[in-house]
Amino acid sequence: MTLDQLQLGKRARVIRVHGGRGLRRNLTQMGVHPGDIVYLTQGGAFHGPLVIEVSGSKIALGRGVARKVLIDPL
Amino acid sequence: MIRIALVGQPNSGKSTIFNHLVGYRANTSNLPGTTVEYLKSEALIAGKHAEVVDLPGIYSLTSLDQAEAQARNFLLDGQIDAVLNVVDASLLSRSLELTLQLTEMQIPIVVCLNMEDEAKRKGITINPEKLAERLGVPVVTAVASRGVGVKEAAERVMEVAHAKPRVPFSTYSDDVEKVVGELVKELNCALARRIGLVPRLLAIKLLDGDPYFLEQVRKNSFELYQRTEQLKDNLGKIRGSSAEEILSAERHNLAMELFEGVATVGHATVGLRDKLDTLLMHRIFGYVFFAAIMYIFFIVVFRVGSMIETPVMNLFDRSIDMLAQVIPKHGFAFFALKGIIQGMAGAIGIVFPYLVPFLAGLAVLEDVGYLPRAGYLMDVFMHKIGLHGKSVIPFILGYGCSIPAVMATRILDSKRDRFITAALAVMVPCVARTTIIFGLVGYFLGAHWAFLLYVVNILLIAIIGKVLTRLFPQVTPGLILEIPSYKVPSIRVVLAKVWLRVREFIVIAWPLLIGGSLVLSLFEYARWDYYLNLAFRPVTWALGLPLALGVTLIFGVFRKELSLIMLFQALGTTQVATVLSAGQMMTFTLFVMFYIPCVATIAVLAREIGRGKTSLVIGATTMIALVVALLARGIAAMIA
Repeated sequence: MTLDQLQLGKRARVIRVHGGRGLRRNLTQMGVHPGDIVYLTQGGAFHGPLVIEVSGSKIALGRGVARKVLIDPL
Repeated sequence: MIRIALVGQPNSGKSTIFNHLVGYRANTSNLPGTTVEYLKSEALIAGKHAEVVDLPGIYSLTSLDQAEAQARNFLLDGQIDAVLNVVDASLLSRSLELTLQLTEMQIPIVVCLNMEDEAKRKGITINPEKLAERLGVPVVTAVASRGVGVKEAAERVMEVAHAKPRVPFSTYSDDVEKVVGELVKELNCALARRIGLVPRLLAIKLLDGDPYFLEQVRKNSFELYQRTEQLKDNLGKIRGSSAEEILSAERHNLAMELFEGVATVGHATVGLRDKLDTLLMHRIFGYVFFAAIMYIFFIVVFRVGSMIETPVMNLFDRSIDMLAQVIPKHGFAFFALKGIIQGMAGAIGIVFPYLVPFLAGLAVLEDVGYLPRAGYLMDVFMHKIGLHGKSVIPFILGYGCSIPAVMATRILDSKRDRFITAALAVMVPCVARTTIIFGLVGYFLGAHWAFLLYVVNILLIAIIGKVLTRLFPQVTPGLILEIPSYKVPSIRVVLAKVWLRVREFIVIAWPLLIGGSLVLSLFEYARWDYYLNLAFRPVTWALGLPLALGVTLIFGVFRKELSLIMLFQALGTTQVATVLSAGQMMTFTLFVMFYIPCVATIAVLAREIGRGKTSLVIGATTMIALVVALLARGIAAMIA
């Protein structure tokens, strides 16, 4: 399952990030690593970006980015 | 002189600390050969003079991001005596990854745990002594927003800058260290020195796949380059992943271990700030609040501005009338003095009243942390144009000044997005053009007409954006944007930001304004303005504007606000409504809103997107301005 399919208000563990090394780097430096637990706090209107909480910080992710994050829902 | 650099992740409170250290004396500078801006200033720390440099916020030193690469090169240049690493204590585990990379650079360093109060709110308790012991570098705590601990932090940095203690670095797992060690052996010291790094750091950078250093090695010795690639593959094979992923995971693990060793996580107190986002980022109410915030923002700027504009302009008008009674009305002296007075009046009466409240409002929105939220909300609409939400930040900055807006396009990852966003951002009316919209249309026709111009502007930018993204099709990399926690804005920081820009205006633009006004007045005295106006007649004729306005358009290319001041000058009155019809005012303002970016913006554009594309922007904006203004003339004629 990918992050964009996660239900609002649910937690999940990140398994891995597909996609290029630029994307992986951008995500890891903002604190999203494989093994981390993320919490989906907001799903934007009109199919807009999502907001996740991970180790204390909030990050907005576009749907396209979220589709590349493989997760295991908790 | 001792040179100290402030380094930290975005929103770590770096600027607040910088501001407490240097007060209002900061100057902006660019990193060598780039438009990446940083602040620097001299400061007196513990009785000694030091130069303090505030680098742009960076998440890591491994990123491919241009600003980060520039900041890294600046640190490696060897001109920095010590680093003050500002860390958001509430995000300690993530921030430590940058700290670990900094210690690898072997520059004397002090870690400043900032926003301890925020960490406490999140239930995080940190033991700074333990952190200092584990890292092997001094650690100080601070709440910079209240000025607590800033002085101590600065003093500690001065100490390490003088003493230059060896900075211990953390070691990775054995298998990784083995590969690092092998590569260090291969990199002969001379090469590392020529590149300017300690061998260990160079080895890590190479294994990390840093394109800049890989290229340096390839140029020096192709054999060594091949060997590096080979060792990278070996490292990857050990763990069944790529070398850079392994190093990133290693750093993450080290940071997590450190964090768990020095901090305890208890219950977070949920306060108003946490609940605020359920409203301000809400899928419906979020947009309502966004519209309301923007509306209030512009109304306040307009009210404050017009309150000051009227009496000040009257005062200057009267002084010119008085002047006419004292010295001969057709003499050289009168025209010269009149030009100078009108140039002064333009700045004091028109620019400052709108510029200052606008900059203050923008600084507050920025400090509170609202801009990234605006980016989140607008992402959907930006996607409709073919860009993404991060592009909204240059646009919002564009309402202040096109120059920082064009520079801010660096936060975008793709070259194509940078070009399109920069091209569109220069069409956003900056403060200078806002003074024209408010000072002319708003003042003489009413605020609602001014508001209409903004709406037309946004719609047109959306249409042009759509066309541009169609012309340069590409899938945009998605949005990844940190939403920082809300902060109470610090008056000091807001004032410092306003002062920094206002001072730039006073030093750079005001003399130009007075000079321009003087030249125009003298042209009028010599009756040369007629020829300039004649040259522009095709444009003014097509737009149905008086001949005298041609010259204002030339000056507008130097500084946009000059257009309005020159308009008063060219028409010979500040009571514009007696000479121009409502339709003419709208046509003129629309033309000025879109046509050719100002000289300073053109210079920045050329550096950011290249000369060819800049010429394209100049040509296109002129065409757009003509078409829009012609349409406005047509509509005005139909209504009349």
